[in-house]
Amino acid sequence: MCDTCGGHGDDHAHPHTHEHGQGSHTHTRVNLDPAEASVLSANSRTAERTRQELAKRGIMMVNITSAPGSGKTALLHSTLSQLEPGSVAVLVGDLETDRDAARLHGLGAQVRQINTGKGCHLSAAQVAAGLDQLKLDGVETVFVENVGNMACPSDYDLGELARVAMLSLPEGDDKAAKYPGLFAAADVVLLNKVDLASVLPFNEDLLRQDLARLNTRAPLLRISAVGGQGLEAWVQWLQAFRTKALAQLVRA
Amino acid sequence: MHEMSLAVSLVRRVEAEAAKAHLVRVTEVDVQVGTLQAVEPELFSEAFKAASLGTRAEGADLHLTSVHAEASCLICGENYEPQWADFQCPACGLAEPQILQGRDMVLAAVSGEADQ
Repeated sequence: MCDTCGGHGDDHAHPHTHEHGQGSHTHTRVNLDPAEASVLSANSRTAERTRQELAKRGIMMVNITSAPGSGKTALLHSTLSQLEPGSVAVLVGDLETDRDAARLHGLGAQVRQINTGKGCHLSAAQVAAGLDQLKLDGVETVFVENVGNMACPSDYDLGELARVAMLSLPEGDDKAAKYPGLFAAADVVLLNKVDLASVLPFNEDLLRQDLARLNTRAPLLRISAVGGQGLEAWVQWLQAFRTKALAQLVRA
Repeated sequence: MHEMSLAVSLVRRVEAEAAKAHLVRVTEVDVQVGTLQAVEPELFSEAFKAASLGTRAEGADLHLTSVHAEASCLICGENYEPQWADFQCPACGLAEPQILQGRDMVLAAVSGEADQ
């Protein structure tokens, strides 16, 4: 601590020199321009570059966020079967293993696994590096399966055009209230495993009330990734959103 | 929850600013955190300590200030303050805000000792 000026508060804006017995040094305070001092700016810049580059090629990236086990890989498995194989690519994020990528191989789409190690979310840089490994000619949609986690991924823009927040029926009807950030940032909310409604208690009205406080822009689609229910509406939503959002981005 | 990865990004920024200002040691770091950013101050301070080990910012005091959120309703144009778990516009009741402020973490100031 500085004995001469006796403090390090906001009044400490003066460079000055004095002795501490270990040689002479100057105390300095650097105030930063708030517009340029975002801690997340490196991620946001990378994300924006990705979004623009993909838009130029007519590609929509879709960031799928949800808890582990809610059915992200199953959703992709069913979705890939419904789309032209060459028009789709997938980046799969997990802490460890390439098991999710392995599950999606053989459907004709390009699949790359991104292992985040100990990271609890994907970053824009990891996704940009993943995109570099894909052949994007002819691709219209890139799905990113984020790390299963309802907290951390919501604050990280990956450069996606559409953000999907998914929950599944066995997780309970209060997921949106518990993880507001994830649902507030979504363009569409998927309620998966609806075919379990007859055997599990789930108050869908409660979910809808919570979503009304968080996000009235995103429609709620009821699906069963494994059973096939609602998948047609999901694919239609993807196509409609792609056309609308790409046009908006190009205009901007 | 992702305090560690934010702390690593913050230390990187602090190191860059310290290098620009020729600081040999950083003593104070002032950070503004938006109320919509999912950061627990206590966890973040611990993460900052860990992330700054071996850097110029090791041992620096971290001052966190909360910044309230601001939004503009995309439906009716009302300006309002959305809450962490409630984005509903008080005028029209819909939750379709454009977030103007409150989602970010900003490095406001770096203080330290420069070599003579």
